[in-house]
Amino acid sequence: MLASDTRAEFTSLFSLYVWVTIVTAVIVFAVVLFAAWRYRSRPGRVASARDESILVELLFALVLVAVVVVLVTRTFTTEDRVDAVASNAKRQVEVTAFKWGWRFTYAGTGVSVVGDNLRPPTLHLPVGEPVVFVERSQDVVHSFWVPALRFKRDAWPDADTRFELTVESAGVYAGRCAEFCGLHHSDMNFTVVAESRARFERWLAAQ
Amino acid sequence: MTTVALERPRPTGLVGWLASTDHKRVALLQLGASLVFFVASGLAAMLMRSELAEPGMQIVSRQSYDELFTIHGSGMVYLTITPLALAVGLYLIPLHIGAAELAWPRLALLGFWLYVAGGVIMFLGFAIDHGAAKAGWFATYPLSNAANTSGKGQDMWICGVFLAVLGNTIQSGSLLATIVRKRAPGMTMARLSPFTWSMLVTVLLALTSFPVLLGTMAALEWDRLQGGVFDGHYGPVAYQLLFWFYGHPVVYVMFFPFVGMAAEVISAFSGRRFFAYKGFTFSILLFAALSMSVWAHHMFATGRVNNEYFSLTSTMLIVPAGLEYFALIWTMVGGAIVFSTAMLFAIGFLLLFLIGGLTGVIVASPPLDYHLTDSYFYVAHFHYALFGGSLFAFFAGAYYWFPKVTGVLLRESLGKLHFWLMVIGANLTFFPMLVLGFEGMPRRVATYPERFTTLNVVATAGGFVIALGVLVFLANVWWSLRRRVPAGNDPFGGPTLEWWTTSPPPRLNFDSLPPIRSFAPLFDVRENRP
Repeated sequence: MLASDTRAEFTSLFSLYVWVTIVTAVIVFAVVLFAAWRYRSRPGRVASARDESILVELLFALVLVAVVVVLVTRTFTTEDRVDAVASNAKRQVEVTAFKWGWRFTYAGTGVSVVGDNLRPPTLHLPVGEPVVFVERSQDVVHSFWVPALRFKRDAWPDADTRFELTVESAGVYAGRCAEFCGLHHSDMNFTVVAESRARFERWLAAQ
Repeated sequence: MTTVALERPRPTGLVGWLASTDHKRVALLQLGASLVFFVASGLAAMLMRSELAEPGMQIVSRQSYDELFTIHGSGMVYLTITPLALAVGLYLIPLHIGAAELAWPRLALLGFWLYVAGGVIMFLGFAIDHGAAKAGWFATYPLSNAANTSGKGQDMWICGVFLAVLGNTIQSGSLLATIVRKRAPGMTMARLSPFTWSMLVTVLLALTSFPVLLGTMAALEWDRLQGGVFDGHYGPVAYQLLFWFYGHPVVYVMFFPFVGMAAEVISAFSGRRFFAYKGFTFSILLFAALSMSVWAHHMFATGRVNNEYFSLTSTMLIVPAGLEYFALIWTMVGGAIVFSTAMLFAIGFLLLFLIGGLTGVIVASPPLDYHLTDSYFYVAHFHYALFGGSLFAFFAGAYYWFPKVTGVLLRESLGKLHFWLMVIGANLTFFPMLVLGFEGMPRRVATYPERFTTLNVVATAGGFVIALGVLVFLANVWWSLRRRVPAGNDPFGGPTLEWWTTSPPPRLNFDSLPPIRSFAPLFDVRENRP
């Protein structure tokens, strides 16, 4: 797994979080519903006079701290991999976002693809190869989101943001702007075409 | 020789209401106003859900859609839930601490009128050329500057937010002073009711974070008029940091009072003292302190903040939140639970807020948030928290305290219908959004690809079920006020001082007070504790 395979990183971390979520939800639902039934008011039922249990609370707090430690550790190690950007990347794409479209420029090739909300552009990418993106906005804040890659990053008018992605399987994926940016935000789309290196090189040469 | 204090005659009728410094009247005015804004912002949501029932554009224009989601979010955050929380505090805090009045009652009244003025100005945007504000409830810069969002609606929004938040800030000061200075003899800080503690941390958060928003709104308006504030390098990031320095604490301002309300309801209807009072109090203080340091978790995908720091502080919230849940649930365990409508809503709060909280843990992890932020997953997350959490607890409180406020009981049968409609409606509306967001539907879009249609139809149907539920509630209030079933002083056997006095309480609240020896003085009286 390449460090920049954001989809695999997401899936692995998400499954941990989803399990924690499901287990917690099941326990809380079960305890609440059981308590509601077991301790319902009925003739002869007298409420307990006990009003605290410091030991149980402290033990429970320790369990919660342990959960935090596990989640944060896994999050940090994953994030360090996902955020890493190679300094000597072979492929670099400059992403320029504007109201309401995108320009993708393949660094060092002079190839540039542009499109807007009426004719969304297509971003061709080679499969299995890390690509570094340098992102900038021409106007307001936009956000580059490819749901299939489980990744988004904002585009700012005042500074570049850099990130690295690797598409692991060939295919056509939807991409779009995720940060509300005005009237045609709903249609600020693009398409990702991930293809083998050979096909990608052919496409690049044909431009 | 004796001196007789002559009281000036109090104004009656409309003036007696609109200019009253009686905390109960100010609170009821504010409650009424926030329910009006709740219905108005809810109608905006219903128009949005109607538009989203099909892909493509059918009912409103793109521009109107942007106005609708901006005003829905702004109306709910600035004009409904925050002022609603403060209104409940204004009503109950003096009663809970055995006080006759608020500290600085005129300021509380001023706060109410500033808030109403702000809300009216914000909504009047719909009546002018180019319509209301349309940059979202957090008005990201530079989208919100003069070049990108022209039209006076945006300026009116800034003015409205400023006035409403200023009003809330002033009222928070009044509440803080009341809790610190106006407690009855015997009411030590360690005997404050759980609700009073929750309001205390709420106003501390408000007083530390709201002024930052006031400054930010003033700076944003200056930028729109003159430029030169946020338009340089780092300006857009600075705007977001400043906004969220308010924007995250306010999330807890919209949560803590409702936890406190749920705590009172659960204690009363479990027939026992609130469990783990000390742990709850400690955890809510820890919660408030931590929640001042989590704001940039709204900015994980910006690439411009230290994600790991904010991820750590945000995930650590699991500890105080877990301890609060422990206290709430263990009050039920061992109790003698009466399933009134109020208790049902409190249980609904526990279970639905849980979904909001657990999805919150997920989005507190930056690598997960990279995918989920600004998607419908996130919309579902905060609606489970604010609707399933805060509003459910508000309704729990509404059924619990309505008899105290009006002297009459709400109808239980209509209440239970209301509850089930809300449970079904909330889950039908918000659960599909979790899936939609995960699959790639962003928030704030007026149209979407065909493949998202089914789940959007379900969400829209759920929205109408919620609307029906709200109508049932309003009908219940109307009906109960017309066909009055007198409640008496203490219909539910509550633990706190408000149940000692008449329903509704007299102008100065109490003719007498029981001895106050714990946070549940009325339980002490009933159990005949020395």
